[in-house]
Order: sequence, then C-alpha cells, then structure tokens
Amino acid sequence: MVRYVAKRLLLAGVTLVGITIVTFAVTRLAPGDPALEAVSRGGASTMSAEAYARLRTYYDLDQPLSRQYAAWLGRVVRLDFGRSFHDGRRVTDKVGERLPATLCLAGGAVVLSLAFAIPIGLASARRAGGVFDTVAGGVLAALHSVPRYVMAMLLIVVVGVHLDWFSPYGLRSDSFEDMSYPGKAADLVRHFALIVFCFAYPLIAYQARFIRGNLLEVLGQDYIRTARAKGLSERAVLHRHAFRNTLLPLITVVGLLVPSALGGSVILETMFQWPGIGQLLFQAMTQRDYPVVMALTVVAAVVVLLCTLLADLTYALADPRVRYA
Amino acid sequence: MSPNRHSAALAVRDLRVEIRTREGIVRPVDGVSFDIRPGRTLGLAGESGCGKTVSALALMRLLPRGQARISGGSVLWSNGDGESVNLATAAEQEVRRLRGRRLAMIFQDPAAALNPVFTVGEQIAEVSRLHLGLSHGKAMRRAVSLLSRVGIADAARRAREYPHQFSGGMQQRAMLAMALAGEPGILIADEPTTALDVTVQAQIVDLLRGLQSEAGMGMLWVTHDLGVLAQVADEICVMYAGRIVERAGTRELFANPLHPYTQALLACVPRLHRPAGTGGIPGSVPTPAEVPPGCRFHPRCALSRRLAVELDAELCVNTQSGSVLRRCVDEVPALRPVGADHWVACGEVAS
Ligand SMILES: Nc1ncnc2c1ncn2[C@@H]1O[C@H](COP(=O)(O)OP(=O)(O)OP(=O)(O)O)[C@@H](O)[C@H]1O
Ligand code: SF4
Ligand SMILES: [Mg+2]
Repeated sequence: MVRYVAKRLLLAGVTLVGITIVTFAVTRLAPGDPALEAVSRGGASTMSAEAYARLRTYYDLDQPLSRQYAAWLGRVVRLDFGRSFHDGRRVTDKVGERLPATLCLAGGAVVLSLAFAIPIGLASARRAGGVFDTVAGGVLAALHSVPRYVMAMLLIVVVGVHLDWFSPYGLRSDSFEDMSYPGKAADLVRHFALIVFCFAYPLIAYQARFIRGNLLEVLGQDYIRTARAKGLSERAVLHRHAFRNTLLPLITVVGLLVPSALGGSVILETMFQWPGIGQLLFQAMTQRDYPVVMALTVVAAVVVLLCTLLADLTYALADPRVRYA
Repeated sequence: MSPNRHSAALAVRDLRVEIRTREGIVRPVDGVSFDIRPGRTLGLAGESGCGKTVSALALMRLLPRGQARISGGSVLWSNGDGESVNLATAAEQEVRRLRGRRLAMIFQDPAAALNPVFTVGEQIAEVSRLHLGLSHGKAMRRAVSLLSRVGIADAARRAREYPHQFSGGMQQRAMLAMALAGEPGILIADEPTTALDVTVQAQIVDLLRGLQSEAGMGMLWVTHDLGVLAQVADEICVMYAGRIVERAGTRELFANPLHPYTQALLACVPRLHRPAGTGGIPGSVPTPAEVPPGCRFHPRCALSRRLAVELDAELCVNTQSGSVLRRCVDEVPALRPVGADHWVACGEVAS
C-alpha cells in the first residue's frame, strides 16, 4: 500500500510538471503583454522604448521561454510563486486568502448534492419505472440541461434581486461584524445558498442517475437474492446490501466531480462576486498576471491529482477485493 | 432450538409460475406437486432448463420481482404444531418472517451468492440478529461457532475475512452456515455442489447429509445429477419442461425407472460396471415459450417412437422428429400411481 501511494505520488508529480509546462507556454503565447498592461495602468498612453525594455527585463520577459520556465520552476520548488504583476503582492498571499472561500463552495456543493442525490437515487431504484422514478428523472434531466451561467443569472435576478430572499453577491454583508451569532449564521446562509445551489444542481442530477443505475445493476446480483432469502426487508436489502456495493463506484465519481466543480468556479464566482480562486483566476487572466495564473494552475492541478488519488485510496479501503501490490 | 423443527413440512400443490418475457408470458413451472417431509430429503432432478430453479425460488417467493409470479397452486408450510402458511398467497411480511428462519436456501454459485463487501461473519450474524434478536457481539460469536460446525478450521479468524478470501468449497460452507443460522426446519439446496471441484463436491455432499440428519431438517435437493441424489435423497421427483414426470422412492426409482425420460437420464449416469452414455439424451429441453402439445417429452421419446413402429399406422402421427404415437401428441398425461409410492406421467407406461 505504501509503495502504491509512493508510486502514485511520483506519477502525480510528473503529471503536474507536464501541466505547468503546457500552461506556461499557452499563457505566454496568448496575445497580450503584461509589460504593456503595467505601463498603461501607470496612466501613460505612450512610453519610452527604454521604460518598456526595463519592465520586460524586470518581469524576465526578455528571456527565452525555456529559461523563464526553468527559473519559475526553481522558485516554485521552494514554494515561491513570486509577486503579482498586477499589484506586486506575494502570489501565495493572494491565493491563500481566497482558497478557503472556494473550498467551502466545492465542499458544500459535494455534500449538498450527495444529500439530495443519495435519497433520490435510492427511491428511484426502489421502484424503477414508477411514478417517482419517472418524475424525478425528468426533472433532473431538465435541470441538468440548464447551463450553470443561465441558472446563475436566473437566480441572481429573480430569487436574489427581485424577491430578495437571498443575497446574491459576495461572501457576507457589510454589516456582518455587528451581527449577533444567529444573525451571522443567517447572513452566511443568505450569501452561500444561491451559489452553492448553482454548483450543486448538475452534480445532483449526475449523481442521482449514477446511483440509480448502479443500484439497479447491483439489485440483479445473486447476493441480493441471498439477502432476500435471509428474510431481510426490502429496505434493508436496498439500503444495506445494495447501497454498500454502489458506494464504491460513487466514491470515485465524487472524487472526479470535485475538479469539474472547480472548473465551474471561474464563471460562477465571477457572477456572484464570490472572493474565491475562480474569480481571482478570471481577473488574473484578463490582467495577464502570469505569476498568479501559474500559481492557480498548480493549485488546481494539485487538487485534481489529490482528489483522484484519494478516490482510489478510499475505494481500496472500502472494497476488500481491491489490494495494491 | 424450536420444538417443532423436526416436523416442519412443505406441501406443494399444482404450483404454476408465469414469467413475462419479450415474447409474451411463459410458464416454466406448470402444475408441479410434491412434498418435503419432516427430516427427509426430496430430490428434484432434470436437465438444465426444465424449471428446477424457478420451482425452488417460487417456494421461497424469491422469483424476480415484477417479472415472474406464482400464478396458481399452493405452497403450504406447516410446522407440525397446527401452524401453517400458504407461501403462494401469504403477505410479503409473513413470507419474510419465515424466510431464513423456517425455510432457508443455498444456491448454486456460492461466490456470487455472498455479498463481496461484508465479512463472512457479518453475513452469517445478520440472520441471527434478524430472526433470533441477538446482539451484534452474540451474533458474531454464534457465526463463529456455525462456521466451525460446517467444518471451517480457525473459524474465529475466518469469520473476519471477506468472501473472496474463501475457496469455492469454503464459500458454500459459509452459505450453509448462513442457512443454518436461523435453525430452519426446511432447507432448499439448488445445485449446491455443481459449481465446485469434484473432490470438494463429495465433501459438501457429506457435510450436508450429516447436518441434515443432525438437525432433522426436511430438505429439497435440486440437481441435474441423479448420481448425487442416489446418495442423498429419500424420494426423487423427475422434472421435465415444467412438470413432474415421475416420482418414486430413491431405491425404487433406480431399480425400476418407468418414465422414458427417467430411463434416458439414468442411462447418462456413470456406473461402476458401465460407462456413461455419451452425449446425453438426443434433442434438448424445450424452452417454456415452445413447449410441445400433449406429452411434452414426445419429440424426444424413444418409447413413443418404438411403439409407433410396432403399432398400426393409424395410431401414429408424423411429426418433425419422426413418427410417434398419436396419443402422445394429443393427450397430456397426468401423474398417476403405478405402484406403492411410485407415480408416472406417461400414458403408455401406465396402461
Ligand atoms: N427471469 C426469467 N426470464 C425468462 N425466462 C426465464 C427466467 N428464469 C428462468 N427462465 C426460463 O425458465 C426455464 C426454466 O429455468 P430454470 O432456471 O428453472 O431451469 P433449471 O432446471 O434450474 O436449469 P439449470 O440446471 O440450468 O439451472 C428456462 O427455459 C429459463 O430460460
Ligand atoms: S406419454 Fe408418450 S411421449 Fe410421453 S413419455 Fe409416455 S410414451 Fe413418451
Ligand atoms: Mg437451476
């Protein structure tokens, strides 16, 4: 097991380097020039060739790409991601202060989606083809086909602004510090609800379908007949014997869904003005803030690789048949 | 131990099963009657596809839901104490109370019949917890003692292992321990040794025989192997295409097989002084969707064909499979007594 983990981690490291090389190349080859950006931010509409060259040297931009990458990698190994081209702050600080907001979002979305998907999947499988199965299947398929940004727009305008049930923008109200504890909790929920729902609803649809399909497959197995032959209730058969067997593939699916949820965070965080790394990435891209973009790439890649590894390991712990050499 | 465990019985009368398939409704079991008597073993024999498993599952009401159902007849369970339940019509809840407790079942493929994600001990303990109300700890200790009872060495350690860590023979032993956990009066075994190695088969046969007489269970032993039934059964029903074609005491059946199908089956059983008939019986069991009219065995029946040669042409009819007796095609032979405790469903033998 230890050897397996070591092997996987090594492989993950190689993958990580590959991802950073590609991102490095793509961001630098994309049109736009941080030096120009910096100068124009300075208010000058024109600038001297000398000032421009000095900025490019300052940012290492005059070096060949391979040299730039090697220098970057050398710093990153020491966990130094440099300073933002945009405001000169340390990149690690900029990312660090925004990471919790996004992790809360991803975690909340996964928990929320499972809280809905598991009961829906169980109930659908219990009477496959029945009324509940048909209705739930239809509703979820319809939901699933609505793009996230459309849903976000609808929720912000209708439920957020028009009905004013929830606060669609930001993490908390300006008056948060003055609130009582229950008031603070309510305020967080009011801000959290809409964006988390936007993250979660495609996951609910996907996971419920997945659970239902898997349960139906498992229900046809011989050991389910054995469970019935014992005299167990249909509920015990489904919830204990069948569900336990669908749990394993479910763990993997959830592990793989977290990264895709992170992908959605760029649009959603921007729309909901949620101060997470998705919004930061969006800003950094438009500002050609290479160090921040690269740091976020590394963060995202690490999260993806870790999730996959964790999914595999949990699978191994949950399924006695899986043993790693 | 329940006081009446030794007098539990199951009386099956005119059992019929319907299965909905894409081609329409079929009846793989069509009017089957037999008795599982207290403390005795009834063998149910027949080739593959003749309806043995469907019959066995019907007794436990374990037919695939929504697809198959008992469409007629009765399955009367009684415990010799005046208590009786018709399993064919009883409410689901009532059936569940008996399943695993009064009637237990073991299956052909123990590897598939055990849940891969629970330990063997947990799966056995589940029965005692459900039916005997034992605590988790007590039920686990009981599982260990059941495992040693079915001949598993080092049972305490083995109980904590998962099914895939067991060999095929041990998996079937574990299934048996699970079946015994409820102290059932009746045990239904569907091809309990078919999936196992030959040497292991003999061990499991011995084990089952020993436990059956020790626990005094009435037993239904389903198999296509008459050789096994010769060792274990008190009485044998021979099944063909969803019906019982012959029923007799084991000794009687082997000494005096009357139905042409039974004779053909016996010709396939290897004996010491005679090699096994090669290739089995010509032809194959009809699927329930295409059972022939009259006697279902007539397309393969050697007797009918022989008589057709000997008798007048007007008594015969030409079929796809040659000339056979007209009666065999026109009339459905009923199971009739031909001697003490010997019944045959063949118009030609009975007359
Ligand atoms: N769920 C089902 N749907 C459709 N047909 C079925 C189903 N179950 C059984 N059958 C059919 O019913 C017939 C009897 O099947 P059954 O499994 O009882 O045979 P068997 O005597 O147990 O044979 P085997 O020795 O192969 O186990 C077969 O023709 C089979 O194809
Ligand atoms: S009734 Fe006819 S076909 Fe059927 S077993 Fe007897 S002789 Fe053969
Ligand atoms: Mg069978």
